[in-house]
Amino acid sequence: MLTQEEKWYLDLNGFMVIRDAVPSSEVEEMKAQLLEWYQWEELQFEPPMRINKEPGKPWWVYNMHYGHPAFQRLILNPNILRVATALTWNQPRVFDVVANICYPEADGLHLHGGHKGWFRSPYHQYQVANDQIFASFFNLSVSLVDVPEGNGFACLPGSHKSNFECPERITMNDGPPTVRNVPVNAGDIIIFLPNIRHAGRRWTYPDYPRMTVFLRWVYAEQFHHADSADWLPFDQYKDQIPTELHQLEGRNQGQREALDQLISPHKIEVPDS
Amino acid sequence: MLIRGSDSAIDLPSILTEEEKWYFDLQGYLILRQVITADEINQMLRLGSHWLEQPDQAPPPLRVTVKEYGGVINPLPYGDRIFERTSLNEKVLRVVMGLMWNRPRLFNCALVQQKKEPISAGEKEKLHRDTSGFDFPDGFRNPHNDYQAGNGQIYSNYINTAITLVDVPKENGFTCIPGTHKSEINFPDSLDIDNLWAPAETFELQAGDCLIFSPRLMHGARYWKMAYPRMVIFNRYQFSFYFNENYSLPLKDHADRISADQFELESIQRGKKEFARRILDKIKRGEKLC
Repeated sequence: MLTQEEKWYLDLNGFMVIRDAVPSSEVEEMKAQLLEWYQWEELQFEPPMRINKEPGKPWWVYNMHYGHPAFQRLILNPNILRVATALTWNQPRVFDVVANICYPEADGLHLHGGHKGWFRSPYHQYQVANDQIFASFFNLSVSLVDVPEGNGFACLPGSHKSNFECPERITMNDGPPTVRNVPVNAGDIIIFLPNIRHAGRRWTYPDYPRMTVFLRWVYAEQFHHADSADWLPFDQYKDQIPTELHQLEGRNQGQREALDQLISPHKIEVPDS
Repeated sequence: MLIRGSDSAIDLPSILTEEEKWYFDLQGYLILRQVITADEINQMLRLGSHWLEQPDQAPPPLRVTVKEYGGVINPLPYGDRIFERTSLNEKVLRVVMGLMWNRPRLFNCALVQQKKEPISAGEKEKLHRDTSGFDFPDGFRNPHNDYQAGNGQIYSNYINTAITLVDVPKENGFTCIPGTHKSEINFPDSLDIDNLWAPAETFELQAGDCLIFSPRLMHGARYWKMAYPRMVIFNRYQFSFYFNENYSLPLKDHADRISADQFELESIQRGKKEFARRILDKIKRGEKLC
């Protein structure tokens, strides 16, 4: 379950930060592995892992939890499952696992998303009632490095509930209160709703690259984000990951016993449907 | 088939800019710069300070409340017509009208003075919402303090304006938590303002600037830290047709002390008011508002 402060803050701003969610030993292990993979050629990666590297862009690696157990432990981290379970009303499903490395040469990711009024896509549903939040889709980023002020995640707080279109002149480098930069430390996580207008500022710190793991979550009872062979689960590789994690990747079709046990302490009380 | 009256609000074009609508919807407030002149500010300061120093010289029906570190004068326009420049100010009314379908009714106009005061250890500022005297349970919307947006329009049936008569440095004066006009989760009892969970904003303002804010926004006043007193005029507006929160206004027995426009502004009325028509006509003709 979420604390009252977390619910209040997430509803107000569309994002929240949980500090020290991932132990530093785990962070260091993931960092070392990512930096090693960064040196690899594309053909060295075995499916379902893959990478994407383009000049002037961040380096991306997908499905890392099939390549190293530290990323499996990350997805099953109790601090992460606590939030994921609460926001999806006990039906968390991770459908996208990806990490990136950003050097100063890579572009930032410009502002995107943000509600503009009118109806909400059921994939991007955000509802509040009786002091509870339900999100059918949310993002979670885990920083593996300390992110200095002015770098990294930036967003327009409250824009997940905007009823009007953000003017084009607003950029990710604008200041508060309209645009808020969220500096984090290694091991901190940011949870943000996809309806919030958000961006990744260009990395300007010369001493080390930005390294972030992104996990995207949906409501397991109903939603598959999109039809794509790239999305989890990968049944043919299920033996490479723990059962709970494989169950967490798929839609809930009554096959979640192991996962249910794992998330049991985090479940919230929801009305019978 | 839908049948609507000729004054259907639904058909009204909004007189807010798209950026104003976006910003107010996102944050719950707007700042208009320099809505009154230095000369008007001086006149208002002179009168307000005089009445606060010598309340017995304030003309009826003014009520002057003086405390050790501040004071309040109400209902201000009945003291002198110069104060109608705040309540009937065209630049401000354009926004207020845009937020309540061109049908504002003024139900309160007060000058508030706040002085620097000694703060006891552990004492903290508090934020509040304007509840119209009845606190609706969280999860419900108070009909006297509603906020809705749809079809490119905003309907906010209750709006506050605050015109400062003195310069306000950051960390002084008005403070709020942006976006809380749309909060749906109970504010945690454990929180004070201005911590990591409740980041409150303050604003650097010059004398003559106007803050327009939703009373659903969690707001309050920071301790005043300057040697000169804070002097600010609050005007509170409601949607003119349905609401009559302060039913004593307009004061018919003192109607001679205010203009016809001010009397109309304070009155309940279904249709568009004359001053509102004039402002809308000026906007249509592209004339400058004053």
